[in-house]
Amino acid sequence: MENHNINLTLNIWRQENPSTEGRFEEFKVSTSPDASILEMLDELNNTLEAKGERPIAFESDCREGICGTCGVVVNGHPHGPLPKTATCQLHMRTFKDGENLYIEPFRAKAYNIIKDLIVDRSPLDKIIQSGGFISVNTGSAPDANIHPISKETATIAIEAAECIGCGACVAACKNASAMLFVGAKVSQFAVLPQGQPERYDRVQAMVNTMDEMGFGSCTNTYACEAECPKGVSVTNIARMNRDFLKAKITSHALHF
Amino acid sequence: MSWLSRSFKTSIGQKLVMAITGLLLLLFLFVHLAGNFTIWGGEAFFTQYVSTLESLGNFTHIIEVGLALLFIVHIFFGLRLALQNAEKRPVQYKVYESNNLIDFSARYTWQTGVLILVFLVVHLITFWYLYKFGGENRELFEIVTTWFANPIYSLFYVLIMIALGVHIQHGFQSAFQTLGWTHPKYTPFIEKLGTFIAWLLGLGFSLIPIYFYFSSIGGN
Amino acid sequence: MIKLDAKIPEGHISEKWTNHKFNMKLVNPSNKRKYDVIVVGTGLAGASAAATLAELGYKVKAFTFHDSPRRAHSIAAQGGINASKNYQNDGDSDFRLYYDTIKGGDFRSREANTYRLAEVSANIIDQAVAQGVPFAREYGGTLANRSFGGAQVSRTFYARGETGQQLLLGAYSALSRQIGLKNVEMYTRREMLDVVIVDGQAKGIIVRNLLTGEIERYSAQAVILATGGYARVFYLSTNAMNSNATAVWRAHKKGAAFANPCFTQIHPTCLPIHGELQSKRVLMSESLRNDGRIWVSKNKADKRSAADIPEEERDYYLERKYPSFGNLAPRDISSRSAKEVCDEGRGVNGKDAVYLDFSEAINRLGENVIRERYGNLFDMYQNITGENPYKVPMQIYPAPHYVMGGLWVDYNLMSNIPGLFVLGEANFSDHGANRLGASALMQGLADGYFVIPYTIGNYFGGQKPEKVSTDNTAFAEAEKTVRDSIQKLISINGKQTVDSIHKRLGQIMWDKVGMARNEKGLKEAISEITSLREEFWKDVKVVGQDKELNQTLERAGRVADFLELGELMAVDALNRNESCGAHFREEYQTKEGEALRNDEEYAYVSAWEFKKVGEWELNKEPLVFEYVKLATRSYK
Repeated sequence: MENHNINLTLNIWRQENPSTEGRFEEFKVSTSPDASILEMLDELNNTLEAKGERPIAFESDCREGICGTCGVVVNGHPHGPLPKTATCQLHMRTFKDGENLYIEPFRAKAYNIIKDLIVDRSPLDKIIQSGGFISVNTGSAPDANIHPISKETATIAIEAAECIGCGACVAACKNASAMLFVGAKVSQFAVLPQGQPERYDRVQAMVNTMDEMGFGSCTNTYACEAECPKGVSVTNIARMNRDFLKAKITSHALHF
Repeated sequence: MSWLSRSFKTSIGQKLVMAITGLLLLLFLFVHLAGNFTIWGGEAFFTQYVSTLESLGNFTHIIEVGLALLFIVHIFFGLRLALQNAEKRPVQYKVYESNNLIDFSARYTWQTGVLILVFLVVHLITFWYLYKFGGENRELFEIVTTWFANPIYSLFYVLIMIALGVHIQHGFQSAFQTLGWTHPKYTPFIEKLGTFIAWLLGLGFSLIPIYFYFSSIGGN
Repeated sequence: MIKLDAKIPEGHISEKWTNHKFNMKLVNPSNKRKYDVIVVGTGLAGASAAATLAELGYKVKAFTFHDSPRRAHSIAAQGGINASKNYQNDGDSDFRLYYDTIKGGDFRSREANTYRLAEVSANIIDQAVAQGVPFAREYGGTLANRSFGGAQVSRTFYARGETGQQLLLGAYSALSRQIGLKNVEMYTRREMLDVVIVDGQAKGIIVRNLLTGEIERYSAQAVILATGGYARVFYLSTNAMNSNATAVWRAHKKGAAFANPCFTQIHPTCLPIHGELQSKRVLMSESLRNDGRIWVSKNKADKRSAADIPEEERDYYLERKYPSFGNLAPRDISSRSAKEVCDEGRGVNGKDAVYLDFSEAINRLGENVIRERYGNLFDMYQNITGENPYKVPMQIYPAPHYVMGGLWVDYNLMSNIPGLFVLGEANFSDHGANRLGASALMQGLADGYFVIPYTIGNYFGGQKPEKVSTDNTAFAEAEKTVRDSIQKLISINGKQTVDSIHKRLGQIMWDKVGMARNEKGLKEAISEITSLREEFWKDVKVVGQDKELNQTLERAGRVADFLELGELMAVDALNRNESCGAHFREEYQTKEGEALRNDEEYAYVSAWEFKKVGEWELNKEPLVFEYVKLATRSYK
């Protein structure tokens, strides 16, 4: 672990509230290379607060890369330049002394900026509410071992289920598409036997909500996969597309 | 609204239209290229090919109408998606690097598409329209060789064929992704096949202007 | 004095829950929609409760201070969830899980609750699998299990190192379904700041809308708190940045007894502190101790690098002291031993860190096997510390992780305030003085899926609680208290930042109310916390306004509560003149330095009643053990 501090120039997006114009504000900081970028911001905020200035609003919670709360764009990359790393796990040793950092909120039509670096990602919840579940009431579950599930299937399911819902895929995509997020949830249930009864309704319901929420469509550039902190694969999008097409052709449901 | 029209309005529905029309247009490009290659058989052979097509009569017309529809649908949906997507990020990033992580061909799909559209118009006017409705009773072979003797025209043609290659490079595997035909065993092959087809069509279509341009210089 | 009636049902321990379920009053399905229930918190306990109650037909209002219910800190649990499925045919049973839990808790939990936890554990796995939770599988397709500390059977179900995430997403999906069906009204970005009590019954809550700063009132016929633990009182802990005690603390100040506040679990395998900027401690799964050997130098302040310290000068202290369990000694013992060697000055470079060394395992099994087992953890370690653990030994040091203490609840999970229920880590419930690994997820989901749906019906059926309008004076009074306290925080305009005071509180807690406590230190802690609290209310600086998104104000309110809770933790630790589980009083230890329990005098739950700030009255709920014999834990 190194000891000497590094000096950086930060250009951070400041925006009072959703309706005001935002702008970049410059800060000079000297920080420990062992600190995470969020700890560096904590320190900056404490300095600002001590001076009676408004601290930078940003979100984070677990700081272990699993809750999906944090997420800013650092130098053009959601969650920063390191692959498979959430913002909270991005350490300052990644940056060189004297470097200029641009820190911006996730930008998308579907994500309103609330304040500074905080955006509203509730449209992702709305998508889940429209179908991202298996309808099973508590108490009516059969024995857990009733469906043997092959390792291959279980692996596909968990690799899809690892999505932390941070919404970086939307922030990375040039179309601000949420296909990786939705594809991952659709896929997880599409491969499991428990998910079969609702399989084709689910995909149609979730895609409809995704469209209503103002996300873009997928042009298969795969920037989402490259920037996903959990490395969720775009094959999940293909699986969703396949199910969507099959649903359109074979499902009896006319209301979609 | 019926389920069908609603389906074509969904994001994935529109993408499916792009994928299916795209793959069908690719088939047409193969046929077109094969037709073009009759030109290597000399003027007589090429002219015979052209007149054989014409002798098919209504069949050719049906194909032409179908082809036009494919183009129109592919272009219409493509432009609509591009316009829809363009407004999904109203405030742009100051620094945006995610896009640089992706394949060059994927970055510029709609732009290469627009170039091809421009070309399509020029191409139809300079060959098809001139041949059919040009008034003078010129052979297609003559029209072709005359145009390709023009360096600017040939260069334009070749550049667009490169754009076509780039468009196909992304579009081919993208269509498979959109249709959900992916598999860890076969997808790498499909990607390679896409690259091969992109080169094949791009180079194949470019060879003719290059050949006729240089032979026109040589002829002088 | 509070009357503490645990309401433990009659009958043999294995029949209590069944009998109770039969004897409880029911609410007719068509009447359920007449009852409003407020659920605060959407972690495992809150989300599972909200979803299940909505499925039953109750009108549920769910609250979280997060932007989404999926963010709750349950998500960070790594290891697994216990259940007495006995799928491995290795002799597990409800009784064995109950026994392990009660022994692991050093005989300071309530027998009947602990047994019920074991009894419903198998249902949790069924439910989670039906929801599509992707647990690990064997090649034949059946569910896989692994073993965990404190148990001799393999009963832990897991999903890679992300079991908490997968279970929470399961509960979140069930909750989302009910939100979509409009059976649950979901209020995100709302922080509960008070509970409203009308005629002695909990009837609603006061929340602050974190986006606008507006104070809002919500009424219901029952309030469920599932707001997690308070380990952030230590400032540095493995808890999330926003985890806090405010909801339970405000309820405590309204009359709910706080039970066993000093029982805090310090987890042994966390990354050491890197510097002053550190905001939290990162946990590395306990499973690392299966192949890693823990050691320090035999010399004080040894500045040599690990590679330069020869084998004979290394002290593998756990293997030395606990030859039969070795590096797999339970969490409390293992943490305390690390503290001992570091206090002696033998930590890495004289700092608070010990080595967790995989070189022997890498030599024996090869790097690939180790990579396969722990690859993601090693990557995480390297990402955070910048060091390659395949080449140099990891450094670890214990960190506060989980609190066994919480609001006192009876067998029905109801606090001493009628209509106020407390679930999950927020209650004191089932873990006694120490929680076993993989049992927190089990308890949160047991409470939410399988206990509260029955017991809340009993409350409604028996009491027939009336609806109360939010215009009631009790709401107005509670709202006024909340507004006044916010105004006060904003108006102090002193010199010290909220974080700086929180850090100082954390240091006091860690030094004096941490892994090892003594009378002198605890008394000092009480007076230091008291004066820090006074300093806070005189000199804290809260920038910004109340009618806006103001994260400093949010933190200030939480720290204000920690400053009161911290004192109670010290008071409780001082009262408990024994060592048990995670509570280690230096005065009470055996010759070998092991915890010395005092069952004669301290086999009770300390339930503290709030009188005024800094003043509590102790109520005792005696613990009666009919089905286990009290024994000294031995891991030698």
